[in-house]
Amino acid sequence: MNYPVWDLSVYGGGLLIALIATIHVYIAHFAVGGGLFLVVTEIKARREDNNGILDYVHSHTGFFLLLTMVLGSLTGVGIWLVISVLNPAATSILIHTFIFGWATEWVFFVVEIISLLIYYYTFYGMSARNHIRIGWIYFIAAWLSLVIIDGIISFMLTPGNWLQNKGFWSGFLNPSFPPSLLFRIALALIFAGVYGFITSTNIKDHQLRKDMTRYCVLWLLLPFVLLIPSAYWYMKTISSQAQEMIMGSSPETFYFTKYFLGILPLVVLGGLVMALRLPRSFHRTVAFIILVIAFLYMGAFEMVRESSRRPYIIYDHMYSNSMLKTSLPQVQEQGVLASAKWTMAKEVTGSNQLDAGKELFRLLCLSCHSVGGIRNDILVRTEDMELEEINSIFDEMGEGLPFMPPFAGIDKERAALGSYIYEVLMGMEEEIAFSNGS
Amino acid sequence: MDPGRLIPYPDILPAPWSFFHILLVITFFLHILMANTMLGTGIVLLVKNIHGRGSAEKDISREIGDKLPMSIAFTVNLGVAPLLFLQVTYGQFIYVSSVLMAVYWVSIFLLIILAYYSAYIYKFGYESLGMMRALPVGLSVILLLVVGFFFTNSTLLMIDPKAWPQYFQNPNGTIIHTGEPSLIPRYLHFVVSSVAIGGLVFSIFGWFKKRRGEAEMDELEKNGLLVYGFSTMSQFVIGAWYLGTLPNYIVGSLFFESHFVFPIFLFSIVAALASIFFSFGRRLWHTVISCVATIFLMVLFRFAVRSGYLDSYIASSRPEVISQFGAFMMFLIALIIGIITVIYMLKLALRAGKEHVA
Repeated sequence: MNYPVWDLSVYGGGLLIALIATIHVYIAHFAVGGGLFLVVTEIKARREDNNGILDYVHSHTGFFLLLTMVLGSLTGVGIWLVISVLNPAATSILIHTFIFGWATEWVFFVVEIISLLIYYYTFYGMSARNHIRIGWIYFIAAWLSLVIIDGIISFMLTPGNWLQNKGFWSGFLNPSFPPSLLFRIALALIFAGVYGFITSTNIKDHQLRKDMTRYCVLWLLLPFVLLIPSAYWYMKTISSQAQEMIMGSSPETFYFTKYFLGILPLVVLGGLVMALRLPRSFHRTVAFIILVIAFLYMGAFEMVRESSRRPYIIYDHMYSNSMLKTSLPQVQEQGVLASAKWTMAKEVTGSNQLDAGKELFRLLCLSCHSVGGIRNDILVRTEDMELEEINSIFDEMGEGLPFMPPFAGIDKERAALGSYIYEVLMGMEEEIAFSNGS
Repeated sequence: MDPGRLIPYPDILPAPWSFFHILLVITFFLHILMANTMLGTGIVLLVKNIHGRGSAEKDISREIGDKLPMSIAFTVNLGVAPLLFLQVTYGQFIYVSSVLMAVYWVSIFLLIILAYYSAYIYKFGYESLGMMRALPVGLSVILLLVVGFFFTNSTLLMIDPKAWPQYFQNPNGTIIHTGEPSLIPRYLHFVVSSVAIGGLVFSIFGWFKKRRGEAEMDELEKNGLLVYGFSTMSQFVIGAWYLGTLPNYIVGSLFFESHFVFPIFLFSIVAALASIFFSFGRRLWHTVISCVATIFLMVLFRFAVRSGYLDSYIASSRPEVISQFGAFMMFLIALIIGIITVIYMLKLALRAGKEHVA
């Protein structure tokens, strides 16, 4: 209501953020787990005095640097740029509430970059003791980054006492912060194994390749001991409504829940296959398949988390369409157009029905629905519906359809929005004109 | 339409506005210095790759090109902090400008990724690319120039709410503030300043090489300083053009109503003139110091211009302040430990270099 809405149309419905966020978190978790993988594997190489392993760590560091420092860092910035245009109001709350958290994370980001560059460029030039120290510094900085980001992300799902006092620590140390952190640590370690396969299956020496691939299998499988209980704990900390949505009350959320649960055994199976004595080319193919499966797993988890937050963007505080929960009664009384800053029409009149409807659609619907796109397409949701049916959805929002925010407008706005969806988006304008004419 | 009514309500600040503003100035100064270094080095590198044919030129292009990805990494990193503080201090303006040009705003990170990988292709494929190596560095430079233009556009849209009603004709996020006469001179001011810094980077590089006994690098040091000198001279023309495009009421308030802005402007001109004088006199470190001083003073002037545009809008909507002392302490402790850690790591790295040579 406070900011303009970017009219994305086909590309709306959260498609952009879903794409970028999934790519980013997949690499960002690897940046944490992979950091531990590097330093622990280097220690192993030094202890065993095994130059083969050391060379492997070096080549893996090059791959790690190119992936995490370029794609990982930049997609992180990308998420920030994207959310600031998709939901500036929520971004503003996250920035203003947690500015010192973000600033702290930035310090860790600086340390990460410098330590990783030093780690790579002094790989064979620095004493083992000092080099391992640099490796630990990288890992600790990356892990602390995860701690900060986790506090802020989990806040969006379970803001806890922040809702009452708006304090930094109440928001940061929110109910789902500990399980979410443990869950993400487990994911980070699993991904260290997943990415490890990509480089380990490339080793030329047969015995070393076999040893390192099995070593990566341990990284992939052992963290499941932490992942499963932390996922269960995580689930218990979120609201009962969000739990119900995950377990089936929201069709879209449940769709991702099924994938999240279904892909899990595939990741484990992939790990077990990698432990078997098989030809190199087969191992390489499986390694890439696991990489894709793990990406889908991460994507499914993020989609479950994001969609279970509905109808809010910040739970119990701000709806997905940027409306504050506390402002809803007032807006329902005054009307959306009169309350919003970025509208041309300030009220629905006899002559501006469809134009006002378009503005209402942009303000109330576009944050979750695309128009003809692949994410939450309004044309699919309203397919074959008559105008009365569309209008009846507005009554169900928030109650019968708990994953949608309550309709915020007044009666005239309800009619204008319904007409816009029916006549303009669904293309029934001509049909109405025809029936009026006849 | 009264553009003032479009300005969103600001959110609660966790510390006084001026505190964040100081952090914004400091971190932006560091960022712009790095951004100038990155872009300028890239541009000079591109010219060297196209025109430089000797083996010494080739070695220099290789060595400096090796550092290009690193300079992109640090520019991005140092850009995060000022963008954070900008969103805290001017959130109600920057978010709006971002939405109005959302397509370009979102593309920024994609363009930087491409520029970054291009720089790596140059670095790792230097030998194998042969004469084609100008392509990746050229692509990097073009992409970074585009990113710079988008940031200039965002900054100008942000400070000019009168341009915001364009949204009602174009809500698709593709607004370029072409109606603003300072768009081009302001952008050119940044690009030419980058070329100057690029020249200076090459000059510094030559100076270090010369100290290590490579006498032929004297030429590089000299040429780098000439690039700096001529570029900075041309900044006087572009700067005058930029100043001429500012609205009269802004110029009036900056130069005649404020007690600080005119002295800042004057000192920046003096520092710039001194840097030109030093560069033609081949006094490298004097040039470097006066150049850094010029950039810092220009950053201050830049913020004064922004305040000139926005003060009247901000005055009516000053955000509430609820201090977060504990969270601030967390940041402060992290910053201190972070600085100590970086110094420690650099010490280890420098020592490692010596061990390696030995």
